[in-house]
Amino acid sequence: MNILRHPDSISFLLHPAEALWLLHSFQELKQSYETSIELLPEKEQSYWKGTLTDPTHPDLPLNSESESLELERLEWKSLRSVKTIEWLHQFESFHTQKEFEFKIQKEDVDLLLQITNDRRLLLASTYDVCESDMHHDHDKLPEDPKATALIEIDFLAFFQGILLQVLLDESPL
Amino acid sequence: MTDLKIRSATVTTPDVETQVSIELDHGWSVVVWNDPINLMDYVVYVFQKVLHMNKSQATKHMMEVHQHGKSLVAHENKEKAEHLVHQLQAYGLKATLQAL
Repeated sequence: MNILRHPDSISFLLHPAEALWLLHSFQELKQSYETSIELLPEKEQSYWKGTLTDPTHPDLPLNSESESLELERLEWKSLRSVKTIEWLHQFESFHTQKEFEFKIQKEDVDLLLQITNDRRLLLASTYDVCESDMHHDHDKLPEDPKATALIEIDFLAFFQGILLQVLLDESPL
Repeated sequence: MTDLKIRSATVTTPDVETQVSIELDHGWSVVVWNDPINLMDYVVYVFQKVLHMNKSQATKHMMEVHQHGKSLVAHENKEKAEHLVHQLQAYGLKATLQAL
């Protein structure tokens, strides 16, 4: 993956295999973002609802605050859906034999980081990924959906590393 | 053990203590919990962005989360603490609110 910096945007030049992974992640995210929360699998519902207080002390009387968090998280779901659909349109020109240029506005890099993290966390939640899974040699895992999920999580981690590099190069942090 | 005996001799229960703290708004903690997915560099970036920490502070708190399971990253009034929890969760960090 190579990066081209333009005045207002960033281009990621993706190998076809990288482009396929990113396309797959966006497609899956689009589905999760667009599906009403009550129709999602239980683990995805929990992810989108979030938790305001320490799960080991769930008795804090913060019902209205918890509802407020849940509503805000649903707003993120909706906003991120719009951006994901916008980015998915770029893949209409994708050919599996050629390098693919994925271009985003500079101000969207931070949002792309959040969106790719949604996918990593949703996969982890769906497949109960734990610390030891993250250090496993994925090549030796049996062929199952969890093994594929771990490869996608790893790919998105690689992509996030590049996004962080872009952000840290651009910002005065 | 000694501490537990003293506590059991008092009338105040932890629930009442929490309720009093909430009523008086003595302050609220924002706690970030460890998880196996978020990248270390990502957590450092989010702490810098949301909590306005410098890189050294952000790295210290990230390591505390990683090694001890959690880190108290802010102590604010309720409104501000709640806002920070929302912002940290927007990035996918496991952040919670705790009454002092």
